[in-house]
Parts: sequence; C-alpha cells; structure tokens
Amino acid sequence: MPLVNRVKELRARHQLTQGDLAEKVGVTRQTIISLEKGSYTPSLMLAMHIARVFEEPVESIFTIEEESQ
Amino acid sequence: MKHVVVQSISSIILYILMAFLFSSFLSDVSKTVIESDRFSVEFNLLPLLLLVVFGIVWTVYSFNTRPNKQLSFAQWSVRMTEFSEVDEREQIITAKATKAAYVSFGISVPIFMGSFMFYPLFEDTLPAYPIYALASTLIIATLVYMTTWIRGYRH
Repeated sequence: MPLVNRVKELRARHQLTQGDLAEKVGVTRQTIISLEKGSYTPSLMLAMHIARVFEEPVESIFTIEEESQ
Repeated sequence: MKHVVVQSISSIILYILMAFLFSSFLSDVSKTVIESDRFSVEFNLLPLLLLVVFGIVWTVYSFNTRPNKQLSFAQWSVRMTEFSEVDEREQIITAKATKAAYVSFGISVPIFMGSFMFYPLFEDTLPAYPIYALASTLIIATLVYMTTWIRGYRH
C-alpha cells in the first residue's frame, strides 16, 4: 500500500521552493523531489517535521492510498 | 551523488595502485633473491611513488569535500569515504548499497577461491594473480556499491 502525500500542493500554497522546504526540515532537495514523486516514504520524524512546517496534522498530509480513495 | 561516484572511482584506483605496488614488489623481490648471492632487495619505486602521490591528492581532496564538515580529520580518516549519509534517505540508500556490496563478496570470493585451484597451472605466467584476485573482489564490491547507490538515488 503506497503512501500518497500533499507535499507538492502544500508547498505551492506556502510559496516554498523544494530547496526552502528541504532546508526547513533538514534534508536534501533530492529527498523532497523523491517524496513528491511518491518514490520515497519518509520516516515518522520527517513527516512530523513537514507537518509542523505546513501547520497541518500528519494524517492530512500523508495518507495510505487505499484510505484516500 | 557526485561525491559517491568520485569516491568510489578513487577507491578503485587506489586498489589498482596497491595491487600494482604489491605485485611489482613480489616480482622484484623474487628476482633479487634468485639472482644475487648476498641478501639485497631492489624494487621499482614507481608504483610506490604513484600510490603516495595519489594518496596525498585523494586525502586532501576528500577531506576538503567531505559532506559532514563538522568531522575532524581523526574522525573522518577512520570512515569509508564512499559513504554519503547527509539525510535519512541517503542513509537508507547507503544501507542498501552496502548490503548489495556485501552480497557481491558472497559471490566473488567463492569464484576466486575456486580459481586458485588452477593457480599452479598459470603461476609462472601470472605470479601476482592472488594479489589481483583480492584487489578484484574489492573493486567488484565497490562497483556494486556505486551502481546500487546511483540507482537508489535516482529512484
């Protein structure tokens, strides 16, 4: 069951570049790219950091594909 | 990714130069012992010189371009320079690449062990074969590490 996320959408809404978000959560830009493509499943810690940046609950940003359908 | 590629290729060059040094030393020492009455050792300094020059350039370059700038020289020098673990994703990629390299040892070492059975047949033509065989296992593992890392990074 793949994890889908709204990182790209939220990043655009907050007017952040991939580099800005990467810097805020302490990862490389490549990790944000992979995350947005859905090819990388983040750790709980990274997911929580991202949720804190966007000020939204983790489960509203990351959902298991089956649940989102 | 560039860091891993550069460091992996540098390691491969280092293994080749080491094999060249030891094989040259082995052949020179054998010749010296056979050809002289007295015990004297002569050997070609070129491989040693190449290794030392490459080693110095590599050390300076690798230390200056290390991903974690907080590491002191003492801490940095005991780590494998091919490892790049800047964030959690790179840690996972490095773990997978290291696992693949470990598996490659499980395949290449038995093959080279088997090839040693035939070593007496070509010992005269290739006396330094065991040195090159050992270097090859390291080179294969480094290549596997590098390709797995690149594939994981691009995924």
